[in-house]
Amino acid sequence: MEDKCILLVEDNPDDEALTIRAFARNNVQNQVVVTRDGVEALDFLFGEGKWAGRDATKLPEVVLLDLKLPKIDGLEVLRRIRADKRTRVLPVVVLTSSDEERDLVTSYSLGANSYVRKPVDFEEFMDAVGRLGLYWLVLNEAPASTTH
Amino acid sequence: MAADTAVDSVERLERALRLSLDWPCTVGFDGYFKDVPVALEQVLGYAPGELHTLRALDLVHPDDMKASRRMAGAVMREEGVLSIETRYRCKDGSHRWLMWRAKGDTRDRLVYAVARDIHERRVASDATRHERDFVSALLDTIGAVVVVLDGQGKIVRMNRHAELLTGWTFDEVRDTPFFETFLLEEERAGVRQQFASLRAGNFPARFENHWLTRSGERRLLSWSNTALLDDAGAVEFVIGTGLDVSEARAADDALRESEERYRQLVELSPNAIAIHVDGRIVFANTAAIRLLEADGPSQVIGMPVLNAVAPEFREVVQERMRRMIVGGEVGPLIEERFVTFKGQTIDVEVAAMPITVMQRRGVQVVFRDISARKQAESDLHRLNDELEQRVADRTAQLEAANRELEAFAYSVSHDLRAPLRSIDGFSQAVIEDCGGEVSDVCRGHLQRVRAASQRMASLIDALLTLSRVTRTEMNRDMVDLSALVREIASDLRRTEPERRVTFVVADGLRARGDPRLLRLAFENLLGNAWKFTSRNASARIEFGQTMREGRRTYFIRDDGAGFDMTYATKLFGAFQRLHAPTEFPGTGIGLATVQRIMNRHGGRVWAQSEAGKGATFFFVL
Repeated sequence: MEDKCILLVEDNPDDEALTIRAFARNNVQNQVVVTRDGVEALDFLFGEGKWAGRDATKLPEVVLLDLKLPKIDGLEVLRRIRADKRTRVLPVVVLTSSDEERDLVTSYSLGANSYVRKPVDFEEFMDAVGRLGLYWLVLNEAPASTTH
Repeated sequence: MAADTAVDSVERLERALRLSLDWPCTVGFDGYFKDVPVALEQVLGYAPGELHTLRALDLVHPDDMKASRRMAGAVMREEGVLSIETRYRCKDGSHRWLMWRAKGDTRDRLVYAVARDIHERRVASDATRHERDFVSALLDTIGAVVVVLDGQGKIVRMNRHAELLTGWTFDEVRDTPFFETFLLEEERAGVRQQFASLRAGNFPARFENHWLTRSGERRLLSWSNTALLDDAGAVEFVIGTGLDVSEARAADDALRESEERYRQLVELSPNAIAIHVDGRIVFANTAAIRLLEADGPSQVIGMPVLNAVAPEFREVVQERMRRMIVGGEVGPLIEERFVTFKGQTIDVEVAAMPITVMQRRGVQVVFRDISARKQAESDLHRLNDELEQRVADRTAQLEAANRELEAFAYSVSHDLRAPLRSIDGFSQAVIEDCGGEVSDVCRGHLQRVRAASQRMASLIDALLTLSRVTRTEMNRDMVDLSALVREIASDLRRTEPERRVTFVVADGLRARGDPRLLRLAFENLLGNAWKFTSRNASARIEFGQTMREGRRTYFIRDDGAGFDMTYATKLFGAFQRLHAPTEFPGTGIGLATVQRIMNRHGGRVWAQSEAGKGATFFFVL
């Protein structure tokens, strides 16, 4: 089975670089697709707009979703992912700077699979990303309906 | 002459005796009649000669028998000429009054007697006696004083009521001079004048004067007097009939006074008072006339009462009046609107009650101008509305400010941290990627950059916590403070298991508050105590309760570094620190957070310390 990609929805290039660095350091081999705003993220998932023509049946292994995004924010992206039956069970991990409780609560209530706060300390950040990779890419069994 | 007549002398006498009302008889000592004139037999209804067969006492009325026997005995003992009046039985069973005069003669063994018919006289005198008894009883039973004086003013008769009133018995005052006995000295002259006037023939006459009773009490009597004249037309007796009007007069006076008081009260009342009968005003006091802006009573009296009522209230008022006049109900206090004679509309408060005026049902109305109050009420309403509007505006502003603050906090949380992450992350990347090319000095610099960015991140976190304390909603619940302290203490122990710290926690301390905020406050306070005792070989941290200024006050005491009280005021400000970060690390926001939490609970926090001797933080919830 060919490795699926990881969709990183992140508008901050520094965070993008650090996240990819953290994946590399944690030996995560999957291709990381980066989208810079909510619209692009949805376009990627549904093969529309800039990503028209992409095989939308090929879903990423996991979506790492920042909340504060240009155009459509992360929570709205999450809502639309969960509203579409194609992506209803797609693993989505909210990866954000915010530790506001209402963000956490809203994320979970909208169906986020996990909520990870980006730590300032790079070591901690790396740990967190590493654990993410381990869990979602190695340990987690994707639901049967999305595998084929 | 005797020879000329056909009858003899005895016969003639016999015939003459028939006309007599006195009948001579003889009765033997055996009790039987011996000689009885036919006339007597006829009067009593017996046949001639029938009485000879009877004993004289047989026909006496049983009630008179005892006296008759006694007399008969005395007569037969020759005790002289005796007489008695008896009822004597007639043939038809009725009785007739006879008076017997009798004398006994023991030698002849006869009683010589004369019977006289006194029936008519006795019957008449009985009637007279009955009449007298009746009048006397009447005199005694009537509820009036009756006193009879002779021409000289002496008391000749006084009835039972007079006795009761004066306390004197008739026997005690009989023939005493009336003026001295019963009158007040100052009234004697006046009464004498009345008496003289009566004697002069001016009667009947009426007047009033006081009587003095035996016990010295004054009674007011209202007299109706008349005089009895003798045959010559001179005044023989004066009869006074008096009624004791003391109580009635007192009641009258009281009523008059009460009426006067009522009149004054009504007239001088600051409340407007009016009375209407059949829908027309029959009385209005000064206040009512003034309130209705009338020129005077004449303008108001006679006016239909509804004219004074504003059109929109007429129906209500009419129904009220109907209920009062027909149902006799008291009209509860209501607010109406009146129209004055000058056409002004005024708000009034009206109470009304049914009243009887000149034997007719009327309504007494008490009313008061409440325009000022209504104005004040409407002003108050308007002010309230304005205030509510202002509060709503302020609330909206506050909400907007809060939203702004939240947005700010949110972006601080999110945006301020991102660059820090880059600084930290890329400093680390430099260290990692450049490997040996970075000197130890440079590595140290980069470590400082990282430490600074991490410290700034924790400052941001602390600030967010502080702002969250203000922003989050309070959910009050009962919180077991003792358990909370023990929980936090064990968390602290886990962070530095090697430290020797004794926690002394008072049992069973509970308080109402927001559990999450209280936990945050206790974490800060206990965290401080833990931190500032870190230089002690062994430390003691105590949580307890005490009373300060009558309020339940909690405290957390440590025996750590303490602080100089000179700076105590700075303690609770954000970013205020009394120690260098190298001494004790910290953001300087913890106590500011604690203070905000206490404030939000309506309580407060303060501290006591001495440098080197530990610190105690007191707080009231």
